[in-house]
Amino acid sequence: MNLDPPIPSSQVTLERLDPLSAAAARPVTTGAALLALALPPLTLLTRSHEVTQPIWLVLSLIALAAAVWLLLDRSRASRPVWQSASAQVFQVLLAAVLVTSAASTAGANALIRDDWAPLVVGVLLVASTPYRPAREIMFWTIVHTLLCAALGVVQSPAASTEVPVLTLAVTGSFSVAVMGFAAAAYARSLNSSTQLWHDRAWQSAAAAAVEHRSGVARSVQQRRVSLLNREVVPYLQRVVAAETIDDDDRDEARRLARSIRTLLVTDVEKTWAQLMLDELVGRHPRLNIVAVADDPDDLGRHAVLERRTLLRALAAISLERLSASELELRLSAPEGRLAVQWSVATPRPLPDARRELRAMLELIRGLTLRSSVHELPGRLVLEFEYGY
Amino acid sequence: MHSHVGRKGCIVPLGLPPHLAARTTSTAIARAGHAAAAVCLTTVGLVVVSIQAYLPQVILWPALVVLIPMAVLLVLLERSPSAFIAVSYLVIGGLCVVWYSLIASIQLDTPVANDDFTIVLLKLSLILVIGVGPSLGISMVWTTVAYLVGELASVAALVMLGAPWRFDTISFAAWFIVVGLLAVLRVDRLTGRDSQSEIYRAARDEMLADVRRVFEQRATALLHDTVLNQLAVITATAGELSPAVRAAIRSDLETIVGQEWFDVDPAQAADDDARSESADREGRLRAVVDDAAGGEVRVAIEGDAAVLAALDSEAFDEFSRAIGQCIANVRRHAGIGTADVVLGGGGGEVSAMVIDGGRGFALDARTDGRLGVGTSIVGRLETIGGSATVWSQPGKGTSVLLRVPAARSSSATGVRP
Repeated sequence: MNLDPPIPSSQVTLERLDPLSAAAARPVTTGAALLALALPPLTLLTRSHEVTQPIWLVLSLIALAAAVWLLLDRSRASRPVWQSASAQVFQVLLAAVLVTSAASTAGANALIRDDWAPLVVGVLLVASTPYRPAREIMFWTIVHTLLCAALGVVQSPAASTEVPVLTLAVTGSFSVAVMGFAAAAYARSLNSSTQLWHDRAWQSAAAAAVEHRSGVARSVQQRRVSLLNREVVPYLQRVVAAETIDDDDRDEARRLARSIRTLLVTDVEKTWAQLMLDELVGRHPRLNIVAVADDPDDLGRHAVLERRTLLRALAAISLERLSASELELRLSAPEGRLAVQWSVATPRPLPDARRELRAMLELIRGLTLRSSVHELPGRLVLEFEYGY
Repeated sequence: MHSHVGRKGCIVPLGLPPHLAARTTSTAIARAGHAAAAVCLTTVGLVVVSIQAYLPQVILWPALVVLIPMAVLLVLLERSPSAFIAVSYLVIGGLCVVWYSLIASIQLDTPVANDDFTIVLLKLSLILVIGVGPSLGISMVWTTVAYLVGELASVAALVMLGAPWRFDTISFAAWFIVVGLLAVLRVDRLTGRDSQSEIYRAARDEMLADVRRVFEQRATALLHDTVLNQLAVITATAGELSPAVRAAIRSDLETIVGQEWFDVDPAQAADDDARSESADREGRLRAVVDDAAGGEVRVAIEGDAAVLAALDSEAFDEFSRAIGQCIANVRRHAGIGTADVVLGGGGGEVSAMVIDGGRGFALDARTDGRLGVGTSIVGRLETIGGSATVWSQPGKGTSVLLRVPAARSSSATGVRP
């Protein structure tokens, strides 16, 4: 079972690559959304006489409100990353805004280039930058630009200025094009820079691990040798030096073999999750921490390094910042996706605990298909499921 | 040396660190500005072309010429950003605004205004250059200078034409929005990154845990092949130990307490790799196999032994030990005195088929817990990115196919899956 398919290149967004940056950009998203809602009434204050079909105006405002709601809802911190299907709905709503807005001023649009709809669509394309792939923004910018140009041509007979049709098409679509292409370039640059940094950061961490390889190898050997030196090595030395093997020797060999086998099997059968928790809890020997891993299929071991890293970081932060007294990690794979349930018992007030975990929760949100945080008495429960 | 290059497109929780966040955002905004400036220049070009086609009697095409140096400098700025090119762009762009205003006014015989659509677009293409620099603060300075250059240029044109000056709301709004956006991002990008160090530490710890797991797995296999094997032999021995068994126990004791278990010294590994082509690997494999056979099984090594040179030192050691363990199993369980090892290679891997015509066994029968074949052969090969497949039936012998990648994948190092 492949629990870790790579992100399809068409789905690479800043929100997935650097969730903290996407979270930091959320005020800009909100501001842009409010601007998009404010522009139509402001424009209509001076150009209400151009509205010949009020019903289309109402429809365009409804489509705009729906698009803004979708944008704000999908970029909320408590929601998983914005999925492709609803993003396409968002773009279709923007196209509907353009068409219905043009229909509302049919036969009376004097300047075309001052229309609010292309401006609003451009602003919302910019606002969607952290959450959608550059390629998708580029595609929809082209679509909206061509649509605006076509609407400019259609509306040209009513234009008050005597300029060529092509000029009206170009000036009518300018707002969408300039903001849309800028948004796509921004997303492309930021995503590729972030990916480059990721590659380098992982290489650096890997290089550090390689540097410690010899030390790790020696420590593993020393631990095993010191274990063997207690009984096994003296026993084998005695047997080699002896003339014959008697019953006591054979009994001793059986006992030692059983003991070693038990130790080795215990080691082999420990899951990644339990090993990780044991290692982290072992760093706080004075604390009485209960750490339980429930991963019968050892799914953690089959997860890619990045996912294991996130789980390890979450455990470390829970222990160090939340002073967790109990940690429970459950891993399962419903529908082939790695699902995680973390339960952290902490003496800290839960709102404080949430604040401490805020950045981690942002990361989890950016990396998962679904995520949620529940509060139980004295305990935070995080549930998330990887996927795209 | 092992490869640890990250995969493109994988999920990575490492976000940008604060010192890179500002620079990365600044670069991304500059690129967005360049794209927007390119749209502005293209729009001006299309408007000029459409009007020229509509009014062929006027000579408007020279206005297009002013766009060429701006477009060239914009491309240069995008490809190799430098302060010199950015300054050139602003200076030449300012002159172009003046030149364009004069041509448009004279040829179209209309009074020019500094808030005309196309002139505003030219000024926007200056404001949106964003400039070059490592921080968002510097970008704000560039944007402001560009705004002033655009305004001064249009004022100069107005003075030459004797036209009145009007406040250009759109250019001011564009400057205000860009600077405001930069300011908001400057504040936001630097906050909320306190978890970066924990994530990075966790990544390093997880990689080290991977490394440890690989060595633990190999150590378990080694103990199984040496100590547990010898204890089993002793348990089954009545009376005197044979000289071969005594020698094997002494050899194993020497391995356990007198030698390094893992060949991880890079200098030594490189030296071994250099020597690998001298065909001594076939000899070393023969020694491992003979040691495992203990004089009780006659083993023929066939096939292309040269393929062993495709393995690095560490992989060769584990591969040969796994083959040795297969032979030890033949000796212990097959009830037959001969076995074959057939070496092969190609397709980026090295393989060995260990075949005996002994008593065989039912594949679902497990007599050794999770150790035995699982640890000494399969687990051992997994630490070098390889695999093992067993075919056997009671009474029909056993075949084991061992496969190892010739160029080891990074997972084999236990550092990067």
